[in-house]
Formats: sequence, C-alpha cells, structure tokens
Amino acid sequence: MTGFSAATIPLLFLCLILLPMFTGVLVIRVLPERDRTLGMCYLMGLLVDFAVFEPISVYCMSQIVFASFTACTRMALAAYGLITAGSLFYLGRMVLKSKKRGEKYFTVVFPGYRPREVASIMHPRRELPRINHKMTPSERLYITSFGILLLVQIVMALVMAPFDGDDAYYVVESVQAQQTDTMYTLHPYLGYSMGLDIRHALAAWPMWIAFVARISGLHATIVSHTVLPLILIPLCYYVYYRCARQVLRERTDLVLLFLTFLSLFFIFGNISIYTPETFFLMRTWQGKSMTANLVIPLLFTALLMLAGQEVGEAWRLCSRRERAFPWVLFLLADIASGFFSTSGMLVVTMLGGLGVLVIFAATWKKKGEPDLWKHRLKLAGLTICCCMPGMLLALAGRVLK
Amino acid sequence: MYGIFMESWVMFKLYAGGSLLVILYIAALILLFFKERRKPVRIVLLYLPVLILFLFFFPLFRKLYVRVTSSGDTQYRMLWLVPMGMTVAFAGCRLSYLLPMRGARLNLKRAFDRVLLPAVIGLVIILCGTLVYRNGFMKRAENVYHIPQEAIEVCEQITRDLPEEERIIAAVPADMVHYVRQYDTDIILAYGRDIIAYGYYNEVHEKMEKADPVNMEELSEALRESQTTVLVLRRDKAVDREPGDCGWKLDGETEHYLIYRDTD
Repeated sequence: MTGFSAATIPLLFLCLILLPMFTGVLVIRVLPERDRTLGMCYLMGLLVDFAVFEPISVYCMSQIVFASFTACTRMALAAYGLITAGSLFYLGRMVLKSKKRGEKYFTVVFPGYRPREVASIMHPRRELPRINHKMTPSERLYITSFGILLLVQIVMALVMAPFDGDDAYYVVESVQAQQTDTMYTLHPYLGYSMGLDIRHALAAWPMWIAFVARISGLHATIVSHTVLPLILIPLCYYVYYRCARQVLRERTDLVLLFLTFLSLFFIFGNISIYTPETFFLMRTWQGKSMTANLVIPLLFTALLMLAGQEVGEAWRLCSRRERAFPWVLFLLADIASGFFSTSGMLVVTMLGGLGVLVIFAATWKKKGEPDLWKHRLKLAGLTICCCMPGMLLALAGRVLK
Repeated sequence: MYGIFMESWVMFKLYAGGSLLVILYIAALILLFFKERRKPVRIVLLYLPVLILFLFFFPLFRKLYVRVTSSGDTQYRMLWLVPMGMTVAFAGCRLSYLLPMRGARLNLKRAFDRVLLPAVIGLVIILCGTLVYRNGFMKRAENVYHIPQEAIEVCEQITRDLPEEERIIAAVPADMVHYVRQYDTDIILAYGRDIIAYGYYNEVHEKMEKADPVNMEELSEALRESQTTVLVLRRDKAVDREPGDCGWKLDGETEHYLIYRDTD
C-alpha cells in the first residue's frame, strides 16, 4: 500500500529537486549576477513551480467534473515539461557560451560563484567580500553547532510522529486526490460527496503534494509526513539565511551564529500551539506552517532589501536587476502565500503593504527631488502589482463561491 | 471597545502561553532600539513589528479583520508577522559581538565574546522556552505513514475483501477518527473529526462514545440508519449486551480494537 518501488526515489528526486532546479535556472536570470546561486535557483524555481501549478489546479477543480486530478496532473506535467525543455535549451546555449568565454560551465550558469572582482567587492551592497574565504575558528564552531541542530530537527522529523487534528483535513485532501481522482469535492472528514470547498480549494498546496505522490507512486500521507520535511526544513533555513545576510551583511560568523540561535528558538519555541515555531516542527507539511516559516521570512528578506535601497537613496547606486530583486521576492511570496493558505494570503499581503508604507514613512523627505517622487510613485504601483495575485485569488474565491 | 481589546489580549496570552520567550523578545527589541543604528534593520525589525502589534490590539482593526475573514479566530496569525525568532537571534548576535571585530584570532581574551557569551544566550533561549519534542502530541513514529500502526491494521481489516471501486461506511472510535482516512479514503466514516473538534451533534457519536455502557440496540439502530456496515469498538468499551445479539458479527481484532460487520 505504501506504493514504494525502485522508481520512487528517482521520481521523488525529479519532482522535488530537478524540476524546481530546471525552472530556477531560467528564473534566476532576472536576479543580479552575485545572487544567481544554487540555493536561490532552487528556492525561486520551487516558488515559480507553485505559481504555475496554482491556476492549473483552480481550473481543473472548478471546470472539470470527472477525473479532475488526472487532468490536473497531466496539465501540470505538460507545463513543467515545457519549462524543462526551455531550460535544457538554455543550458545547451550556456555550453557554447562557456566554451567561447573559456570560463567554467558551472560559473556561467551560476555566476554567483564567480571569484569576486575588485569592483564587486567595492560595491556598497556586496554580500561576499572575502576572496578565498577561510573559516575562522568561531565560524567553524557556529557552523558545527547549526549543522548539529539542523540534523537533529531532520532526524526528529523522521522518527517522531506529531499528532495534529488538521491533518484529518489537509493530508486527507491529498490522499483523496491521489486515490479517488477528485479535487475538494469529497468531504475529507467523512468521505461523502459535497460541493467544491472553495474556501480551502484556492490553496493548491495539498494538490501539489498529491501531484508529487501521483508521479512518485508513493502514498500521499508518506509524502506529507516523511518526505516533505526533509526538503522543507532546510529550505526554510535557507530563507532565514538569506534574511540574515541582509541584516548581518558580510559577517559570515554572525550569520552562522544567527542560524544557531534561530534553530534553538525553533526547537524550544513550543510555547503554545499557535506559534510559527510549533507549526514548523509539528506540522511542517501543512500550508499554514509554510506561510509562517517560508513565505513570511521571504517577505521580510524582500522588505530588508527594499529598506536598504530606500535609506539614503541607495537605490540610485543599484543596477536595474538589484532594484528589481526585492520585488521579485515580494511577488513570489504573495503568490506562494495564496498557494499555501487562503487565510495566510491576507496576512502576507498585509505585511507587504504595511512594510512598504513603513519604509516610505521612515525615509520620508519633505523636499524631494522630482525624480524621487516619481520613484516613490513607481514603488507604490509595484506594491499594488505584487499584492495583485492575492487579490485576484480572493476575487476568484468570491466568483467561484 | 474594551471588550474587543480584551478579546485580542486573551488571544495574545494564548499565543504567548505565558512564556519567558516573549520577555526575551521585548528585551531584544529594547536592545535593537538602543544599539542598532542601521535604519533598514530598525525599520523592518523594530518599527514594523511594533506597528503590527499595535494594530493587533487596536479594537477597530479587529472589527475590520473579523469583517473581512468572517471569523476572528485566525487573528492570532497576525502575530506571525512579528518575527520573534529572527529578532531574538539577531539581538543575540549583536550582544555576542558588540565589541570585538571580525578577523581577530581566537584567544582567551576574546573567547568570552565568541564562545561563552553565545553559549549563555543559547542557554537563556533554552531555559525560557519549551522543548517541542517533549510536547504531549509528539509520539514516536511507528511506520513511514506517521500514523499509529494499529489504525493501519484496523483499516486493512475493514477493507479486506472490499471489491475494487467500492467504498464502505464504518464507525470507528473517536481516537481513531483522525487517522483512518489518512490511510485509506475508500472508508467513509459515520462521524468525523468535526463532530469531535467542534462538538456538533451526531447520533452515532452520541450512542457510541457518550453512552456508558453502550446501548447496543440504540447504537445498531443509529448505525443502520446511517447505512454503516462496519463497527469498530475499543476492547475496554462497556456494552450492555454482546454486539452479536444485535446482528454484528465479530470479523477481526487488533490489540485494542474489535471489528464487527453487520449481518442483518
């Protein structure tokens, strides 16, 4: 009944690692070169994969009556197939480019790993200032501590089984999609037919889990409880790492110490059943947990970047791609919040809007130059655009109700 | 207005759980207020969370939130926007490295700042918090599904001999309701988690879980009315007479449960 076969692990690897990486390779082209790293590639690829899956899922559940989940799986596969084909074509072109330049293929695709040039080290928004960085003893100590704490969390996610009543809803929705080929039209608690449960249906995360389960052949409950935490826990820490880089800049030692403290806070943050820390380790696989621990920190990262650009008008020194970076993260965070949780969408949109307002208020100038006003208006427009996916999803909820 | 404020306050207390970690967070905010000079960090980790906390407690905002979401129960999620963990971790870093600069070699003079002080801060976090793995809801996994093995055994016995494409209606004890459909959705339940969690009325649940001892005649009637053909009872559940007398044949058993099928 587990559905485990020889092909399961390669297929899981394909769904959970390769497809996001292929997508990411294309998406990271919009980022500044120094940010085109493996981690960003995976994170952005996964978020874009979610963004692709969301409309397919909403279309299939609202428009297709019979075998809607099979149709959803096929459409998602076709979409991911197209992206992968595009990605392979791009990677092929990069082979030629690397030969032409005489540069390593890896650094052509991921320029974030290129040795730093003097100009980039001098850049006021630099992130990795040290060339041939050799770890100091304190860095070694902190990275070891963090590594141990991370490993403990991953191992505990495997060997411990937290009970959460909401699993009877969310996990069952995934299992139902996999086993009965329906999408949100069977009552998860009971199993009887019901009308489309649009309140939950707009958050397509359980359907994406069912998609992974269908492709890999593994039971959706195993995918949720056992497989996903292995990916999601390190991914959330990666987002916190990016956030820490914004706050602590070049102090790699402090970034590692930050992650160590944060891990301790997560492990000992079980002060009530409502905190993000409790959600993170007790129901990692649920959309709400990912909203609190992946989407919100991502938005904080975007806001820190944006605040960094706005204070002292540093944006004037930034390239176009650097200026666009926080907005790309903001947009992806807003889409992902709708993908993970319908109520999370509201708080994330609120955080984004409030964050930009506070940045505006804190960097306000009475006598701004005309182009500063133009810049501010542009930011306001961008904020509205980034909040648009959440608003559209809310509108779709009203229309389909 | 005061009543609405108190609702938010109660929600905050439930969220914070009377933990010292909240005090630690406030201490971290104070440290950032006095020691953090960089404006972007102050904006995002200080001003923004304070504004969010203000809105959380502001009665008119709660009214608006309830109006938009049709329920105020989820307002605690606004507190997710207050990055407690990140702020405490960042303040811990600031405190650990308030004086020394990077690059200096580790020596006894600096050992306090680089090892001892972080260790003390880590210890404070540990002492102020509660270990998530000691939570009462955390059990050792019995299988890769992370649901009790006995629930799987019961499900296997319920669906034994069930023809392809067919589904079966079963009534299971309240402690198993959460798990059955996580394993097999061919099983339809006579009552579900909503009955237990939200206290809704369900006849089968009333006769099966609330009566002690169970009146088998009344339970059988309720089960047949809901077309339930499989009944799972805990071994220690007191019944006024043998289920067999009411047409329920014992068809399987596990360590703690008995599985009956309707023969009528």
